[in-house]
Amino acid sequence: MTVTPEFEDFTRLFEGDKATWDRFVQRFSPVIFAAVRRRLVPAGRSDDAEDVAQDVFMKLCARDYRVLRTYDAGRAKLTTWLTVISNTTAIDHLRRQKGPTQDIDAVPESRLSVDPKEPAWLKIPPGLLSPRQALVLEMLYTREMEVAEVAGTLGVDPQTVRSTHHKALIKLRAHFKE
Amino acid sequence: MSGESNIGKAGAELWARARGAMGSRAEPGETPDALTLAAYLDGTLDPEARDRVEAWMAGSSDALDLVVAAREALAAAPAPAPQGLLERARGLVRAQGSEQDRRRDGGGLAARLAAWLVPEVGFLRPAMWAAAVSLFLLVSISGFELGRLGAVQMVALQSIPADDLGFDLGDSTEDLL
Repeated sequence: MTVTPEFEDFTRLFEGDKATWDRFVQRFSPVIFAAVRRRLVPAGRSDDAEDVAQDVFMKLCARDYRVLRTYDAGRAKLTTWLTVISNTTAIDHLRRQKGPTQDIDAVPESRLSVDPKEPAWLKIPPGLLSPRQALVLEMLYTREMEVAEVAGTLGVDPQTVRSTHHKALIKLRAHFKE
Repeated sequence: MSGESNIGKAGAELWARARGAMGSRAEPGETPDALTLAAYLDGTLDPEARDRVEAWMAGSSDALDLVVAAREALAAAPAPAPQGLLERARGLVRAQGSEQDRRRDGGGLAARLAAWLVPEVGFLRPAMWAAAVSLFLLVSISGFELGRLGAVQMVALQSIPADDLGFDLGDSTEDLL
């Protein structure tokens, strides 16, 4: 897949040209703001979206554009990269806002109990499932995501998800029969 | 999972059993950097790199959350940014630009000298500092050596008996007159 450049003026931007920075802000602030907001709203922190989006811009231009200079247009789209940066900045913000952790003595014992583990002989050998197979099973069964959602997350078509799921179950059945 | 005949209760039980056998989750893989993650989302990674990212997602609930949220954000329409954000973000570089302008055009000999001494190209800055330190050391050592040499010569001169110097002050004064 070829990545089409979405912004051509990095040279002028890194030279400190203000007009170029203004264009960059104008063009990508909707992407950054949307990504930040999408992460903060479910946590009830939508009021922080503007400040966190500003943090993203600060991160990008700080220290002579140190972070923005790490972007490589040959590897990924700028909007995708900015979305990842915006997400991680919002996650960091939410972590900082989190209250103190709960004292373990105050937690009811029933909530601390763990399910009994399978005997050691049932341990899944490393490499039995490929990372994608484990991920597909995790999303389908633990997260109860739809096949289409899983396909969207992995960036593949639904048939690939069904096929990956099917092969993974065959491997697991064979393993547990041994 | 509704409507998916081949994905059902039996598969769920098998996966629950497998997860129990593995512990809570699979081993988390190496955390990818933002560019690698963006390349994964764009589908530009090679299969090996893609597997590493998916191993990381399979082993960490937060990692999977991040990818799911990023996918959703990319699929959704961008939200118009508030005007306040645009102004504040634009101001980030105006402030830096003003500082550079002051340094370049602020008049004043000191400002011009500073602008000349501090190169704009970032990677040259360590070289400038190294050159300044080297120059300082060179001047210091040269000064010390010159001083030491002068002192040695002075001591040597003072230790020579006056007769050995061969001056005849009596005649020379007459000659001078």
